[in-house]
Amino acid sequence: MALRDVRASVIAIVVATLVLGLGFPALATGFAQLAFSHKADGSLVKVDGKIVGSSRRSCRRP
Amino acid sequence: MSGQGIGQILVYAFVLIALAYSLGTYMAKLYNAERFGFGWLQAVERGFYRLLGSGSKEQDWKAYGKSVLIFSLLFSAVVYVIQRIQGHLFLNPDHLKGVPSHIALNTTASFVTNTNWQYYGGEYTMSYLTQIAALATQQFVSAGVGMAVLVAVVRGLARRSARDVGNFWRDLYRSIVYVLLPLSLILAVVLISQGVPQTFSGQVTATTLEGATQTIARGPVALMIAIKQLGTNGGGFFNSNSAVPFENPNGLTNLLELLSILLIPAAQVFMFGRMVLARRHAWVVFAAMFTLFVAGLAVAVPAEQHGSTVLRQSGVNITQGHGQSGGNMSDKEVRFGIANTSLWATATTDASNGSVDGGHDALTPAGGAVPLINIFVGEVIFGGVGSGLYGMIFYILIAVFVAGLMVGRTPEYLGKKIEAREIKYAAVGALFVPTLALALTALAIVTKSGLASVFNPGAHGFTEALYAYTSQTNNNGSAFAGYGATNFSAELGAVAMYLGRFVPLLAALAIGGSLAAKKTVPPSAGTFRTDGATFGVLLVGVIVLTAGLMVFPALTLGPIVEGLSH
Repeated sequence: MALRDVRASVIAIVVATLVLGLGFPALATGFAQLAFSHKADGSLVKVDGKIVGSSRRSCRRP
Repeated sequence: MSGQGIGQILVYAFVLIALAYSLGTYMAKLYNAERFGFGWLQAVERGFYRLLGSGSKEQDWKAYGKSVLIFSLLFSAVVYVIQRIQGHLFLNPDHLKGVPSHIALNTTASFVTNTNWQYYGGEYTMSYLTQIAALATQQFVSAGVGMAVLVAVVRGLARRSARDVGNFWRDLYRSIVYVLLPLSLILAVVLISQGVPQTFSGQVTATTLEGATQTIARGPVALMIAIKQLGTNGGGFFNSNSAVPFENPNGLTNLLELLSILLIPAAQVFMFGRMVLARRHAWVVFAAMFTLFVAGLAVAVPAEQHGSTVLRQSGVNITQGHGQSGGNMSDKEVRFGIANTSLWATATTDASNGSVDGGHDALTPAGGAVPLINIFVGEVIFGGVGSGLYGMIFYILIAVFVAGLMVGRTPEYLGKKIEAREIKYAAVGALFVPTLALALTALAIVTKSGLASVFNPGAHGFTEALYAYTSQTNNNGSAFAGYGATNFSAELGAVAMYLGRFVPLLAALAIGGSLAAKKTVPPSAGTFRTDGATFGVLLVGVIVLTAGLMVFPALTLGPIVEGLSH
């Protein structure tokens, strides 16, 4: 009985780590890079090609 | 407190109830259905059970609990090992070294038990691989485990003369695949669109216009933040959690992340009502939780707006108006202000989430007592996903028992006789964790190795230690800050989290199993009704008395002394 649980656990751990831990983050990153590449990379601000900081929407003050 | 602040809190409450009701209805269908979803989704689910080799046969509560324990402990080993060897693994663009053993141990316990106490700063300790494959995976899985166990307990209440309470693997699969994953993906997409990073590229160094250099940490953040909020996990990607613009860029994301904190725990109350066919009773339980939630807000928000005595006497202008929020803005994000930060602090400690969008250490004494009391009542004011409602069931049984004593009848709950056995389990479930929290706090302040963790002198230092062990035993994970990681505190914390998670979890399963076996008796004239206001008041009273008596002496030594001495 316990052995069956161990076997099921090991398989579930491998599947969960691959699917939830790598698969979906990769999918989300792929989507983000395609649809919002600037924001997904951290909304970096460049002046003359050099990074000078990051602008996030919230930093824009009235 | 401003009208705008009250308006924001009201909008929050209405949207929350509407969403939670719909999600609860959906979840009741999800867990009751023999088959769920369309064609290929069903095929994938069946394939998963076949792969496990365990099938989806029903288990009794002991077998169910055994699956939970074996799965959680084996998974702990993986989480620990990934942290230790991350320096040699891929997805580590910033070349971070392996995590020190005591931090890795504490972090493992923390994420496996849905606590997310963090004795580390994410961006400079954990590689991207560790963040997503070890920690965020656990944010899905530990939440799924909590949800599965709740469903098993609820089935126990619903069934008659039965032995089994469901199948762990099936409940786990459905919780993750049909609730947590879709909601997280939707939230992640919105977060990305608002400026939360989701990239595998490493940190960048910026040279600011003033000529200073600035390191901008980033990474695969958005999906982790989504599940962090939805699964009442709370462990952020960055050290400063949801106060960082990269986790929480603006008002919209703040509202969505706030809603996500309480969404699933609140929805589970409605799910419970449908599954046990007692929807009125579920509304009473919901009302009891909501009352305690509002009570917390009613103290925290005005306290922060009023500021502390020290602040008022310091000569700083804390009057509200002229575009100024006034009040105690120390350690608060100006983007969110007092109402939103206090709402977050209340919700995150009600829900066993533990994420923050401001610093709790700088709350006023009364404002800081609210999160502490919230955690101390055992995370049942909505509480953690799954664990909140099964924690509430302990209190419900105690309330029913007290009512039974008053009228001199064997107590009944949902048509089942509640006897000594269930009350013993309920007492263990309700009292074990606060007792453990007090014992560990005592240990931490009387030993030399324990005192090494306390940063501040006097009553405030005591509050920090009390908060640390209360948060960890209750699997909340929010930190008051100002409590340091030593070998001693990290290892003691790990023990606190494992015991605090699995002892009540098993007690709840035992209650489920014990009640499943019982017959239901039709209500008679002498039956104490659990679907009216009287029961609601009694339930709130039992919670306040039980938890209040446990926490009050400790509160006296911490926030109360501090509040009086300034």
